[in-house]
Amino acid sequence: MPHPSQQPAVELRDLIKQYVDPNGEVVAAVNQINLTIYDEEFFSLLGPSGCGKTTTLRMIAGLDVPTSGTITLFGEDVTDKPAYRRPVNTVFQRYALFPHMNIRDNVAFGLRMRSVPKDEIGDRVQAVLKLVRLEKMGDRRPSQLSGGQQQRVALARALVNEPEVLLLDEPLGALDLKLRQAMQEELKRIQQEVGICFIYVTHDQEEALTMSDRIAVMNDGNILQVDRPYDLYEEPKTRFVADFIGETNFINAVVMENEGDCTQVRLAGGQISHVDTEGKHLPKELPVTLAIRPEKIFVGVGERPQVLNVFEGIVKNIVYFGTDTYYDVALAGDVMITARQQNQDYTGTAATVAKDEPVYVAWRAHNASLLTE
Amino acid sequence: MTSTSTSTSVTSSAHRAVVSAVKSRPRPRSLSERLLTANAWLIFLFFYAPILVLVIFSFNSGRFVSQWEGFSLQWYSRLFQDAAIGLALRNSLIVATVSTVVSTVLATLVAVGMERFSFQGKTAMDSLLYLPIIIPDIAMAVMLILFFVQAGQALGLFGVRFSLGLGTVILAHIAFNVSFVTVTVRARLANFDRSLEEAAHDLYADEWATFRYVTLPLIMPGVLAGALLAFTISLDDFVITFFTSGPGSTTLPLRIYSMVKTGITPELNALSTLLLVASMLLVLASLLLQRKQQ
Amino acid sequence: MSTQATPLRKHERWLLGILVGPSALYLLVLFVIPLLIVLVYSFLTRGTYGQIVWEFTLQNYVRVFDPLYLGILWYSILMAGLNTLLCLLLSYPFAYHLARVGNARTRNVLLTLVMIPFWTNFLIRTYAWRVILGTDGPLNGALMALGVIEEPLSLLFNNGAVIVGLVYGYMPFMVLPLYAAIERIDFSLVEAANDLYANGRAAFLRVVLPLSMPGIVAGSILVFIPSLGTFVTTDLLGGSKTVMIGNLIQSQFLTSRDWPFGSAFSMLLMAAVLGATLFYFRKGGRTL
Repeated sequence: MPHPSQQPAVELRDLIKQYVDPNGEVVAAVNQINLTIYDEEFFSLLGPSGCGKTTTLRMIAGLDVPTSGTITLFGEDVTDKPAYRRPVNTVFQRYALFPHMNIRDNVAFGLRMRSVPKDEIGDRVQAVLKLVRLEKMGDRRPSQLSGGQQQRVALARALVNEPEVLLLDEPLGALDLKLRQAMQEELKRIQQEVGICFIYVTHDQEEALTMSDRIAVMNDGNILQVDRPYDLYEEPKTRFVADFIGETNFINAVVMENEGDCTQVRLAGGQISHVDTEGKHLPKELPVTLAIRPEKIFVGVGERPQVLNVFEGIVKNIVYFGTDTYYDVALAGDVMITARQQNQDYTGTAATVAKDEPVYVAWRAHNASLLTE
Repeated sequence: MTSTSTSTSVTSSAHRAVVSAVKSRPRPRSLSERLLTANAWLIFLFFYAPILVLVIFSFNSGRFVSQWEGFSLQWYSRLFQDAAIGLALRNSLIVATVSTVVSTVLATLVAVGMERFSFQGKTAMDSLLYLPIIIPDIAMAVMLILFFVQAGQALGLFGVRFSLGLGTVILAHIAFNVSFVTVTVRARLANFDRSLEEAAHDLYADEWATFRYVTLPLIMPGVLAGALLAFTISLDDFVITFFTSGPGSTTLPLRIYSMVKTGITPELNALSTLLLVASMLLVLASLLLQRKQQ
Repeated sequence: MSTQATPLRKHERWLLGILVGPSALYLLVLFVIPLLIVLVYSFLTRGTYGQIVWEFTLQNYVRVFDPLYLGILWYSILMAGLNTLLCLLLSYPFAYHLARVGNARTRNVLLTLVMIPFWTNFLIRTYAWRVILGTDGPLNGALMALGVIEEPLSLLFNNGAVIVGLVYGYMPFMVLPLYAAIERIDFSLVEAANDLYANGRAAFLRVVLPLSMPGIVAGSILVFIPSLGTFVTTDLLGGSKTVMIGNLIQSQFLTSRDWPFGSAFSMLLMAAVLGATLFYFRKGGRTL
């Protein structure tokens, strides 16, 4: 099941956001995107800096006004509603905690603004501080807390209002690695406990892959692909996605024939590769890009395995990574390919393959894909 | 240590080594350093001498400043009995208070608006806000008196009697104080983290609530500093007040001016001393406020 | 994030109106309109009894070129310029010394001490010089007591007194920018220069002075422009010969009651000030 609930939480239709840059040119930060995000899911907007992910998030929050298009929240059109009338809350990148209030007042702010009765405020604030494990910090000021603690306060301040959707703008960017990993687990746990939709903006693909139910990859104001992490990784639809997420080998090829589920392509060195395209037929002579991930390639010496894709090559470089080893192999026709193998067995490939040695590389037909963009 | 944007190629590590070697050598106080110190003391003397003269001679029992005739507080007691000065002080305080309150409110609002939004005509408004600061006193005084005269004539057509007085002085003071307070508040706003306002909006605070609970508390030191500035400037103003006041609306500077013109009275020394003390207290208050905002 | 380049939401337009509107309106009525009135008046004629005659003429501006008035203009520029120069010469060593004090707290305290006199009433400070320089003042008194002179010197109501008053009044406007500029200089550059065989004087001329130039320019503008339009100093410390533009305008309004002519002079003064300000900003000066 791609997403936990079937009810759409956020719907973006034909959403456009344009700016006029210093030269007077019109620049589209968000270029007509359409997206449906469901309730209870952990959804990530992933992409490089400037791809429009933060702008999109801010438009959902109501902090930026779209140039055109609509934003719907659980069926209600909120496009013209300012932020303070939308039942969503945001965790800001730099936390934006109010320096002149203590933690308790910070967290209580949204409740105060909505005139929630005082005793109820006290209870709810205490409960949410417990949720983020900061119950004893209520009287401190933001400046007295560490980065990680401030971030949890920002989370508490948003969650206490029981928003319909929680928006998070790269909240872990300022934390160090270990803390970030711990917080990723925390966030995931909290999201599942609270049970609402989280929309998470990040440029870190590992973060997105580990935390999300679904991911939208963005670039240059466009959404390139929306899928579960597994599908996004295993079946990227464009070169950008294949390159942005994980590592990929890109090999130029030309379509030869289609037979059944497979398509035959010819590589630069004359090799014929069979790719499982699930019956999709591509026109002959079409230039395509063969994409295959390093971990899907086997490097070995000796008897050639009986698979469709086996090619001869020479090892140009070996990089040892502890858990894995990378092999840069040059195939015929100057086709460079990088393979990655786990060092499972000390006496395995690592022991037999050396630099400048002739080897073969092999992969299964369904592990590669053909990209036309 | 402060740094500049000049080329960093000079401060390569090799140079740093040389520099620290040079620094560690004990240097004798050169002639130029001694001259500089002497010069600095002289200038300090220059700055404070006139004030000290006034203060000292305000306690002089004799009339003349040329010689000291003994300690006396008579000029101070005469001062406190001077009705004209009492009236002038009252007028000054009224003008300063009213113009400060009005201009601070106007200025805070406009500072927030200018820092937050960009809109058509923003540059024009920017220039308009700076003009009263740049323009010479006398030019502004002339502008205002002509305006009041014309306005008086125009209102006279409707049977409204309009003449120069405290009202016109207050209106004039507001006109220049708005600019001064705006500059002060904008300086404070420039460092203001806008994401705090966004967070407030995100947390259901509309514009007024955001301003009241987030923006204003955080810029308050700047607002108060601006208000204090306006109050001081208003108390001190002479030229513009001179032109825009009428009978019965004499402020303290105006009274001082007429006292000076008629001849040196020792009362003036006493008055000056008191005003000096008051100004210094106001300045110290303003500085303490600014320190608080850090 | 860039400021909003997109059109504002409806409630934001309304908000902008509330924020900027009142001040804009106030300044429109009590600044722009008065300015226009002065402009208009400068083209009108003075009637025989001092009233305004609505006849448009350029006569007022032509009269400016009368040698008497040109002389006053020229005198004003000279005095303002001399004031600026003296302020610079006196302030620079002082600001330099102040900026070089090692301890930051001491520097701030000293700076505050410098500023305190100048937060007091300008009128009083100018009056103080009238007291000091008077024939029965302490300066004369001290000189006579020391036997340097026998008769009191007439130190007041001349150019000298005016210059003293001007320098005293405007010096902080020179000290502050100079101090700010010099304090910002990285003095390891001077030591590097020394290391490269530059002696003290050369290091100063070629390193410190050029680097402090923004402060010199800022201070000069901050002194020159206001002293051009000064009124109180010449009025209290000067005599019949030390008439500057400010005094001229005042006399036209309050004595001669030639308002059109006074307005013309006001316009000229404002034009000069505006010109100097624009010149400063064009040269890349930062906002004061």
